[in-house]
Amino acid sequence: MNITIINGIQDTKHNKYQKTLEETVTALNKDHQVDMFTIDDMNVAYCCGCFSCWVKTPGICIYKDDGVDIVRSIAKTDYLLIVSPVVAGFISSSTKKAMDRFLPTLLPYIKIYDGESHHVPRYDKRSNLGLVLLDEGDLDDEAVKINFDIIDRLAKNFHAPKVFKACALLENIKEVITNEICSC
Amino acid sequence: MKYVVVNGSPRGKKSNSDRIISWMTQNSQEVQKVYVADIKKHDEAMKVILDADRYLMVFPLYTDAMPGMTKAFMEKMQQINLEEKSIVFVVHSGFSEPIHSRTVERYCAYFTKANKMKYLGCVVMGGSEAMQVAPNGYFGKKKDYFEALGQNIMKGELLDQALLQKIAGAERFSKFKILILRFLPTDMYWNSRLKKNGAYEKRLDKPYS
Repeated sequence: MNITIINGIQDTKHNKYQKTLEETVTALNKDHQVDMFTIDDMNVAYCCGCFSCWVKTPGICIYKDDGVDIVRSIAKTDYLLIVSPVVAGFISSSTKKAMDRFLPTLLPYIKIYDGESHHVPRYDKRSNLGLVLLDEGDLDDEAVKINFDIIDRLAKNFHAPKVFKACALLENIKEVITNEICSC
Repeated sequence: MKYVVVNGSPRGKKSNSDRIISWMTQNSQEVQKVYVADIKKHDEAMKVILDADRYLMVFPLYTDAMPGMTKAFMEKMQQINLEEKSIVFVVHSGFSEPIHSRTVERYCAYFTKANKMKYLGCVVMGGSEAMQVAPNGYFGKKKDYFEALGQNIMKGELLDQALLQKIAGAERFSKFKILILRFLPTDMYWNSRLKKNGAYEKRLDKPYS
Protein backbone atom coordinates (compact mmCIF):
# COMPACT_ATOMS: atom_id res chain seq x y z
CA MET A 1 0.00 0.00 0.00
CA ASN A 2 1.18 3.54 -0.73
CA ILE A 3 0.94 5.68 2.39
CA THR A 4 1.35 9.46 2.64
CA ILE A 5 1.90 10.97 6.07
CA ILE A 6 1.58 14.70 6.68
CA ASN A 7 3.51 15.46 9.84
CA GLY A 8 2.38 18.87 11.10
CA ILE A 9 4.52 19.09 14.24
CA GLN A 10 5.69 22.69 14.53
CA ASP A 11 6.55 23.31 18.17
CA THR A 12 9.32 22.09 20.45
CA LYS A 13 6.75 20.69 22.87
CA HIS A 14 5.87 17.94 20.41
CA ASN A 15 9.38 17.30 19.06
CA LYS A 16 9.66 14.17 21.17
CA TYR A 17 7.13 12.53 18.83
CA GLN A 18 9.46 12.88 15.82
CA LYS A 19 11.69 9.92 16.70
CA THR A 20 8.70 7.66 17.36
CA LEU A 21 7.09 8.71 14.08
CA GLU A 22 10.30 7.94 12.20
CA GLU A 23 10.44 4.51 13.87
CA THR A 24 6.81 3.95 12.89
CA VAL A 25 7.61 4.80 9.26
CA THR A 26 10.61 2.43 9.27
CA ALA A 27 8.40 -0.38 10.60
CA LEU A 28 5.64 0.33 8.04
CA ASN A 29 8.16 0.48 5.18
CA LYS A 30 8.75 -3.29 5.54
CA ASP A 31 5.35 -3.97 3.97
CA HIS A 32 4.39 -0.62 2.48
CA GLN A 33 5.74 2.37 0.63
CA VAL A 34 5.58 5.35 2.98
CA ASP A 35 6.20 9.02 2.16
CA MET A 36 6.34 11.12 5.33
CA PHE A 37 6.35 14.89 4.90
CA THR A 38 7.56 16.81 7.93
CA ILE A 39 6.18 20.15 6.87
CA ASP A 40 8.23 22.29 9.22
CA ASP A 41 11.49 20.89 7.76
CA MET A 42 10.33 21.58 4.20
CA ASN A 43 10.01 24.58 1.96
CA VAL A 44 6.23 24.75 1.49
CA ALA A 45 4.48 28.02 0.69
CA TYR A 46 1.01 28.84 1.91
CA CYS A 47 -1.65 28.47 -0.80
CA CYS A 48 -2.30 31.98 -2.12
CA GLY A 49 -5.71 31.19 -3.64
CA CYS A 50 -4.63 32.04 -7.21
CA PHE A 51 -6.45 29.02 -8.71
CA SER A 52 -3.61 28.55 -11.23
CA CYS A 53 -3.84 24.81 -10.50
CA TRP A 54 -7.42 24.92 -11.79
CA VAL A 55 -7.50 27.49 -14.60
CA LYS A 56 -3.94 28.10 -15.88
CA THR A 57 -1.83 24.96 -15.42
CA PRO A 58 -4.42 22.30 -14.52
CA GLY A 59 -3.17 20.04 -11.72
CA ILE A 60 0.08 22.00 -11.22
CA CYS A 61 0.60 24.51 -8.42
CA ILE A 62 2.09 27.92 -9.17
CA TYR A 63 4.71 27.28 -6.45
CA LYS A 64 7.62 25.05 -7.49
CA ASP A 65 8.56 24.15 -3.92
CA ASP A 66 8.46 21.00 -1.76
CA GLY A 67 4.66 21.14 -1.85
CA VAL A 68 4.87 19.58 -5.34
CA ASP A 69 6.19 16.35 -3.76
CA ILE A 70 3.16 16.24 -1.48
CA VAL A 71 0.75 16.47 -4.43
CA ARG A 72 2.75 13.86 -6.37
CA SER A 73 2.53 11.47 -3.43
CA ILE A 74 -1.18 12.08 -2.78
CA ALA A 75 -2.07 11.49 -6.44
CA LYS A 76 -0.94 7.84 -6.02
CA THR A 77 -1.59 7.16 -2.37
CA ASP A 78 -3.89 4.55 -0.87
CA TYR A 79 -3.85 6.12 2.58
CA LEU A 80 -3.44 9.77 3.52
CA LEU A 81 -2.64 10.14 7.20
CA ILE A 82 -2.47 13.52 8.89
CA VAL A 83 -0.56 13.67 12.17
CA SER A 84 -0.93 16.98 13.97
CA PRO A 85 -0.56 18.63 17.33
CA VAL A 86 -3.51 20.71 18.51
CA VAL A 87 -2.46 24.37 18.56
CA ALA A 88 -4.94 26.98 19.77
CA GLY A 89 -7.58 24.22 19.73
CA PHE A 90 -7.08 23.26 16.11
CA ILE A 91 -4.71 21.30 13.85
CA SER A 92 -1.45 23.23 13.51
CA SER A 93 -0.94 25.93 10.88
CA SER A 94 1.80 23.74 9.35
CA THR A 95 -0.74 20.93 8.93
CA LYS A 96 -3.30 23.35 7.50
CA LYS A 97 -0.71 24.81 5.14
CA ALA A 98 -0.11 21.32 3.71
CA MET A 99 -3.85 20.61 3.47
CA ASP A 100 -4.45 23.78 1.45
CA ARG A 101 -1.88 22.54 -1.06
CA PHE A 102 -4.06 19.45 -1.80
CA LEU A 103 -6.14 21.66 -4.13
CA PRO A 104 -4.49 20.56 -7.43
CA THR A 105 -5.80 17.01 -6.78
CA LEU A 106 -9.34 18.29 -7.33
CA LEU A 107 -11.00 19.74 -10.42
CA PRO A 108 -12.75 23.11 -10.15
CA TYR A 109 -16.02 21.53 -11.25
CA ILE A 110 -18.76 20.88 -8.73
CA LYS A 111 -21.09 17.90 -8.62
CA ILE A 112 -23.71 16.80 -6.15
CA TYR A 113 -22.55 13.92 -3.95
CA ASP A 114 -24.92 12.70 -1.21
CA GLY A 115 -27.00 15.85 -1.58
CA GLU A 116 -24.05 18.25 -1.14
CA SER A 117 -21.93 20.08 -3.67
CA HIS A 118 -18.33 18.89 -3.82
CA HIS A 119 -15.46 19.18 -6.24
CA VAL A 120 -14.86 16.42 -8.76
CA PRO A 121 -11.58 14.55 -8.09
CA ARG A 122 -8.79 14.97 -10.68
CA TYR A 123 -7.26 11.54 -10.14
CA ASP A 124 -8.92 8.14 -10.27
CA LYS A 125 -7.35 6.94 -7.05
CA ARG A 126 -9.48 7.17 -3.89
CA SER A 127 -7.46 7.14 -0.71
CA ASN A 128 -8.54 6.54 2.86
CA LEU A 129 -8.06 9.46 5.19
CA GLY A 130 -6.82 9.43 8.77
CA LEU A 131 -6.21 12.05 11.46
CA VAL A 132 -4.09 11.40 14.53
CA LEU A 133 -3.99 14.23 17.07
CA LEU A 134 -1.01 14.31 19.42
CA ASP A 135 -2.34 14.05 22.95
CA GLU A 136 -0.36 15.44 25.84
CA GLY A 137 -3.29 14.86 28.15
CA ASP A 138 -4.25 18.49 27.56
CA LEU A 139 -6.82 18.08 24.80
CA ASP A 140 -10.35 19.04 25.67
CA ASP A 141 -13.27 17.09 24.28
CA GLU A 142 -14.83 20.00 22.41
CA ALA A 143 -11.62 20.80 20.49
CA VAL A 144 -11.11 17.12 19.63
CA LYS A 145 -14.69 16.85 18.34
CA ILE A 146 -14.29 19.96 16.15
CA ASN A 147 -11.04 18.62 14.65
CA PHE A 148 -12.57 15.20 14.02
CA ASP A 149 -15.58 16.83 12.36
CA ILE A 150 -13.29 18.90 10.12
CA ILE A 151 -11.66 15.66 8.94
CA ASP A 152 -15.09 14.21 8.21
CA ARG A 153 -15.75 17.26 6.04
CA LEU A 154 -12.36 16.84 4.33
CA ALA A 155 -13.13 13.15 3.69
CA LYS A 156 -16.33 14.16 1.88
CA ASN A 157 -14.56 16.76 -0.24
CA PHE A 158 -11.71 14.40 -1.15
CA HIS A 159 -14.01 11.41 -1.68
CA ALA A 160 -12.27 9.19 0.89
CA PRO A 161 -13.99 5.79 1.16
CA LYS A 162 -13.00 5.47 4.82
CA VAL A 163 -12.03 7.98 7.50
CA PHE A 164 -10.16 7.27 10.74
CA LYS A 165 -9.78 9.64 13.68
CA ALA A 166 -7.82 9.15 16.87
CA CYS A 167 -5.87 10.86 19.63
CA ALA A 168 -2.52 9.30 20.47
CA LEU A 169 -0.03 9.62 23.30
CA LEU A 170 3.71 9.32 22.83
CA GLU A 171 3.48 5.84 24.40
CA ASN A 172 0.91 4.46 21.94
CA ILE A 173 1.17 6.48 18.73
CA LYS A 174 3.18 3.78 16.94
CA GLU A 175 0.58 1.18 17.89
CA VAL A 176 -2.34 3.45 16.91
CA ILE A 177 -0.90 4.10 13.43
CA THR A 178 0.32 0.57 12.67
CA ASN A 179 -2.95 -1.02 13.88
CA GLU A 180 -4.94 1.32 11.64
CA ILE A 181 -2.74 0.65 8.60
CA CYS A 182 -2.87 -3.11 9.22
CA SER A 183 -6.68 -3.00 9.40
CA CYS A 184 -6.90 -1.66 5.84
CA MET B 1 -13.26 51.72 21.32
CA LYS B 2 -10.62 50.61 18.87
CA TYR B 3 -11.91 48.49 16.05
CA VAL B 4 -9.61 46.30 13.98
CA VAL B 5 -10.57 44.32 10.90
CA VAL B 6 -8.55 41.24 10.09
CA ASN B 7 -8.65 40.32 6.42
CA GLY B 8 -8.02 36.57 6.63
CA SER B 9 -7.69 36.00 2.91
CA PRO B 10 -4.44 34.93 1.21
CA ARG B 11 -5.55 37.14 -1.69
CA GLY B 12 -5.17 40.23 0.50
CA LYS B 13 -6.39 43.46 -1.04
CA LYS B 14 -7.75 41.69 -4.12
CA SER B 15 -9.89 39.33 -2.06
CA ASN B 16 -13.61 38.69 -1.86
CA SER B 17 -13.08 39.17 1.89
CA ASP B 18 -12.04 42.77 1.24
CA ARG B 19 -15.27 43.38 -0.63
CA ILE B 20 -17.35 42.00 2.26
CA ILE B 21 -15.30 44.12 4.68
CA SER B 22 -16.04 47.25 2.62
CA TRP B 23 -19.77 46.50 2.88
CA MET B 24 -19.57 45.97 6.64
CA THR B 25 -17.44 48.97 7.47
CA GLN B 26 -18.72 51.66 5.10
CA ASN B 27 -20.42 53.53 7.96
CA SER B 28 -17.69 52.89 10.50
CA GLN B 29 -15.13 55.44 11.47
CA GLU B 30 -11.53 54.78 12.42
CA VAL B 31 -11.27 51.20 11.30
CA GLN B 32 -7.79 49.78 11.12
CA LYS B 33 -7.23 46.86 8.77
CA VAL B 34 -4.61 44.14 8.94
CA TYR B 35 -3.95 41.53 6.27
CA VAL B 36 -2.90 37.97 7.14
CA ALA B 37 -1.51 37.74 3.58
CA ASP B 38 1.36 39.93 4.80
CA ILE B 39 2.96 36.95 6.52
CA LYS B 40 6.12 38.81 7.45
CA LYS B 41 4.02 41.44 9.20
CA HIS B 42 2.14 39.09 11.56
CA ASP B 43 4.22 40.16 14.57
CA GLU B 44 3.70 43.80 13.71
CA ALA B 45 -0.03 43.18 13.34
CA MET B 46 -0.14 41.73 16.87
CA LYS B 47 0.66 45.19 18.24
CA VAL B 48 -2.44 46.50 16.47
CA ILE B 49 -4.48 43.55 17.73
CA LEU B 50 -3.31 44.06 21.30
CA ASP B 51 -4.23 47.73 21.18
CA ALA B 52 -7.82 47.13 19.98
CA ASP B 53 -10.87 45.89 21.81
CA ARG B 54 -13.19 44.90 18.97
CA TYR B 55 -12.42 42.70 15.97
CA LEU B 56 -13.96 41.59 12.73
CA MET B 57 -12.20 38.62 11.15
CA VAL B 58 -13.19 37.66 7.60
CA PHE B 59 -11.82 34.62 5.80
CA PRO B 60 -12.63 32.29 2.88
CA LEU B 61 -13.08 28.56 3.40
CA TYR B 62 -9.94 26.67 2.28
CA THR B 63 -10.11 22.87 2.40
CA ASP B 64 -12.90 22.93 4.98
CA ALA B 65 -11.47 25.49 7.40
CA MET B 66 -9.58 28.78 7.61
CA PRO B 67 -6.59 29.21 5.25
CA GLY B 68 -3.23 28.05 6.64
CA MET B 69 -1.86 31.57 7.00
CA THR B 70 -5.02 32.64 8.83
CA LYS B 71 -4.50 29.77 11.26
CA ALA B 72 -0.90 30.92 11.77
CA PHE B 73 -2.26 34.40 12.56
CA MET B 74 -4.77 32.97 15.06
CA GLU B 75 -1.97 31.02 16.76
CA LYS B 76 -0.18 34.33 17.28
CA MET B 77 -3.38 35.93 18.61
CA GLN B 78 -3.75 33.08 21.09
CA GLN B 79 -0.43 34.07 22.65
CA ILE B 80 -1.61 37.54 23.69
CA ASN B 81 -4.22 38.53 26.24
CA LEU B 82 -7.54 39.02 24.45
CA GLU B 83 -9.76 38.75 27.53
CA GLU B 84 -13.05 40.69 27.38
CA LYS B 85 -12.40 41.86 23.81
CA SER B 86 -15.25 41.17 21.39
CA ILE B 87 -15.07 39.48 18.02
CA VAL B 88 -17.18 38.81 14.94
CA PHE B 89 -16.26 36.31 12.23
CA VAL B 90 -17.30 36.03 8.60
CA VAL B 91 -16.70 32.72 6.82
CA HIS B 92 -17.45 32.76 3.11
CA SER B 93 -17.16 29.88 0.74
CA GLY B 94 -17.31 29.08 -2.96
CA PHE B 95 -19.79 26.31 -2.14
CA SER B 96 -23.40 27.43 -2.15
CA GLU B 97 -24.52 25.67 1.03
CA PRO B 98 -23.58 26.92 4.51
CA ILE B 99 -23.17 23.33 5.77
CA HIS B 100 -19.56 23.39 4.46
CA SER B 101 -18.63 26.24 6.79
CA ARG B 102 -20.48 25.19 9.96
CA THR B 103 -17.64 23.17 11.49
CA VAL B 104 -15.09 25.98 11.24
CA GLU B 105 -17.81 28.30 12.58
CA ARG B 106 -17.85 26.09 15.70
CA TYR B 107 -14.08 26.49 15.91
CA CYS B 108 -14.44 30.29 15.74
CA ALA B 109 -16.77 30.12 18.76
CA TYR B 110 -14.33 27.77 20.51
CA PHE B 111 -11.37 30.10 19.83
CA THR B 112 -13.36 33.01 21.29
CA LYS B 113 -14.24 31.05 24.43
CA ALA B 114 -10.70 29.70 24.88
CA ASN B 115 -9.40 33.29 24.83
CA LYS B 116 -12.13 34.51 27.21
CA MET B 117 -13.39 36.89 24.53
CA LYS B 118 -16.95 37.99 23.80
CA TYR B 119 -18.49 36.23 20.80
CA LEU B 120 -20.84 38.51 18.89
CA GLY B 121 -21.45 35.95 16.16
CA CYS B 122 -20.34 34.49 12.88
CA VAL B 123 -21.71 35.24 9.41
CA VAL B 124 -21.65 32.31 6.99
CA MET B 125 -22.04 33.07 3.31
CA GLY B 126 -21.93 30.70 0.36
CA GLY B 127 -21.31 31.28 -3.33
CA SER B 128 -18.63 33.90 -2.71
CA GLU B 129 -16.41 33.07 -5.70
CA ALA B 130 -18.98 34.92 -7.83
CA MET B 131 -17.71 38.08 -6.13
CA GLN B 132 -14.67 38.03 -8.43
CA VAL B 133 -16.86 38.94 -11.39
CA ALA B 134 -20.31 39.99 -10.18
CA PRO B 135 -21.36 43.62 -9.63
CA ASN B 136 -22.81 44.68 -6.27
CA GLY B 137 -26.33 44.46 -7.73
CA TYR B 138 -25.87 40.70 -8.18
CA PHE B 139 -25.89 40.24 -4.43
CA GLY B 140 -29.25 41.99 -4.05
CA LYS B 141 -30.12 42.67 -0.46
CA LYS B 142 -27.15 40.69 0.91
CA LYS B 143 -24.98 43.77 0.68
CA ASP B 144 -27.51 45.68 2.82
CA TYR B 145 -27.64 42.81 5.35
CA PHE B 146 -23.85 42.93 5.69
CA GLU B 147 -24.05 46.68 6.16
CA ALA B 148 -26.65 46.23 8.93
CA LEU B 149 -24.45 43.60 10.61
CA GLY B 150 -21.63 46.14 10.45
CA GLN B 151 -23.87 48.43 12.52
CA ASN B 152 -24.32 45.63 15.09
CA ILE B 153 -20.54 45.51 15.46
CA MET B 154 -20.26 49.27 15.88
CA LYS B 155 -22.82 49.13 18.70
CA GLY B 156 -21.16 46.10 20.27
CA GLU B 157 -24.36 44.10 19.84
CA LEU B 158 -24.84 40.43 19.11
CA LEU B 159 -25.31 39.89 15.37
CA ASP B 160 -28.93 39.90 14.21
CA GLN B 161 -29.86 36.22 13.88
CA ALA B 162 -32.52 36.90 11.25
CA LEU B 163 -29.93 38.60 9.02
CA LEU B 164 -27.45 35.75 9.54
CA GLN B 165 -30.15 33.34 8.41
CA LYS B 166 -30.97 35.45 5.34
CA ILE B 167 -27.32 35.62 4.28
CA ALA B 168 -26.73 31.89 4.85
CA GLY B 169 -29.87 30.70 3.04
CA ALA B 170 -30.93 27.05 3.06
CA GLU B 171 -28.55 24.80 4.98
CA ARG B 172 -28.65 22.13 2.29
CA PHE B 173 -30.06 21.83 -1.21
CA SER B 174 -33.67 20.75 -1.53
CA LYS B 175 -34.39 17.75 -3.77
CA PHE B 176 -35.94 20.16 -6.24
CA LYS B 177 -32.80 22.31 -6.33
CA ILE B 178 -30.59 19.24 -6.84
CA LEU B 179 -32.73 18.36 -9.85
CA ILE B 180 -32.42 21.91 -11.22
CA LEU B 181 -28.64 21.93 -10.65
CA ARG B 182 -28.29 18.86 -12.86
CA PHE B 183 -29.44 20.91 -15.82
CA LEU B 184 -27.61 24.13 -15.06
CA PRO B 185 -24.32 24.80 -16.86
CA THR B 186 -22.37 25.18 -13.59
CA ASP B 187 -19.04 24.45 -15.34
CA MET B 188 -19.36 27.58 -17.46
CA TYR B 189 -17.51 29.95 -15.12
CA TRP B 190 -14.47 27.67 -14.84
CA ASN B 191 -14.46 26.76 -18.53
CA SER B 192 -14.47 30.41 -19.54
CA ARG B 193 -11.47 31.08 -17.27
CA LEU B 194 -9.67 27.99 -18.65
CA LYS B 195 -10.34 29.09 -22.23
CA LYS B 196 -9.15 32.61 -21.51
CA ASN B 197 -5.85 31.13 -20.36
CA GLY B 198 -5.60 28.72 -23.29
CA ALA B 199 -5.74 25.82 -20.81
CA TYR B 200 -9.16 24.35 -21.61
CA GLU B 201 -7.77 21.29 -23.42
CA LYS B 202 -5.64 20.49 -20.37
CA ARG B 203 -8.45 20.93 -17.84
CA LEU B 204 -8.62 17.23 -16.91
CA ASP B 205 -4.83 16.66 -16.93
CA LYS B 206 -3.36 14.29 -14.37
CA PRO B 207 0.27 15.47 -14.28
CA TYR B 208 1.32 13.15 -11.43
CA SER B 209 -0.47 9.91 -12.34
